[in-house]
Amino acid sequence: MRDSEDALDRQLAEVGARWRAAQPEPRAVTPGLFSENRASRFELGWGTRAWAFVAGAASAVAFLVVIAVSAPGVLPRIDAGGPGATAATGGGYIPTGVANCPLTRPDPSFTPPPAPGADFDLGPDRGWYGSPRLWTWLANDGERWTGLTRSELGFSAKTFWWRQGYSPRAEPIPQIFVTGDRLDGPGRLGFGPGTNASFSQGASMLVGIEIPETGCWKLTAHYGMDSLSIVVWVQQG
Amino acid sequence: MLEPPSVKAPSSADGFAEWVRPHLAGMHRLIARLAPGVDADDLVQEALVRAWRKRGQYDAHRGTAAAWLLAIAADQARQARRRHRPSTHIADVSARVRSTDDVIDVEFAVATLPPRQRLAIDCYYFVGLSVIETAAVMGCSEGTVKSTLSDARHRLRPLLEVRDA
Repeated sequence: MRDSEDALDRQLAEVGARWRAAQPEPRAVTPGLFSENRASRFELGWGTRAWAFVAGAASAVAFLVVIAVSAPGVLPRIDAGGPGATAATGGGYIPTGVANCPLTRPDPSFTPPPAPGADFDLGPDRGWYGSPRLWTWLANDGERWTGLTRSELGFSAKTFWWRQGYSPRAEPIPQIFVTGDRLDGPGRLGFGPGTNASFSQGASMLVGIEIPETGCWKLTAHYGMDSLSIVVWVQQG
Repeated sequence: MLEPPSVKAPSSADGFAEWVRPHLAGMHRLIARLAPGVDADDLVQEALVRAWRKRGQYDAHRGTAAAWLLAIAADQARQARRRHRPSTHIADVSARVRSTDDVIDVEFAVATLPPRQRLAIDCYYFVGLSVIETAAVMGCSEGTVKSTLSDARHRLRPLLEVRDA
């Protein structure tokens, strides 16, 4: 193995070991699990299946109501077509160009609330933005996303959000949703729910989004009745 | 005269529970890695129930208990990903985002790999499986695992900017 491959091998092994160390202990197994009469999750009766369907539909309706109340105008855009990213028409756009894009900067007055095992020191180039109810990290000069991978829906990006008390174990698929409006032209998006991602900065809620066009985008995360908006710049790199 | 070692999985529930216990952590990690966002504990239990039902098919001559159970866990994770597929998934998005943490950089870089290379990296480096166990999960030979890992490292090197010492 060459030196560089040795170094990469060590780096991967080290990151992997850290990931393993962060994993919770598995639930204990008991002999009762292996009862011949045990019904698996895939062998539910029709009554149970119907109840699960109704419960799921009710959750979806509840989410739509929350979004309708907390972010009026979002629902028609999500419903406008497409699996998540849609285009909209209309004027009132800001001029194009990153210089005209009101990028959101970190808020030096905000410090995330302490969390067990979390180190919120981001170093000199980044900072936090939001409130204990919902916050994210930003580059000091604003988020300028370049080199994003292009998919059939747009440019793929990951957005990370934190909230006080979030537990990946209690909520492995957090009910967080991200909507977006392009500010310098037509384009809207909506994606969610999220998944969990744990770093040294603690447990975050990750929402992958597909941005249909480059330009200046206002992204809003919605979690329950809380929301947080940031403005980012997206360009091909 | 020594008795030949048992080549079958235990047929009693008590014995089977004892037999799988040493492999729980590995199955849990594998599922957590391959199906993030899904309750790994639930999937482990489902995989174990499946293993219990298929226990008659286990043959120690064809591989270790760990490899057999891990292969079942991996298949369970794949099914779960198809069932629960959220609109976002860490392994489905290959965006590069600047970060201050090498863990995040590595995660993003690994997410850009083709599926087989990503699976090899996940199994070998993250879950901590041996090459033999990784081969069982991937359904290929040990040599293929080694070459896949090598190809993956070759792709990752420029992304992680590992320089010659």
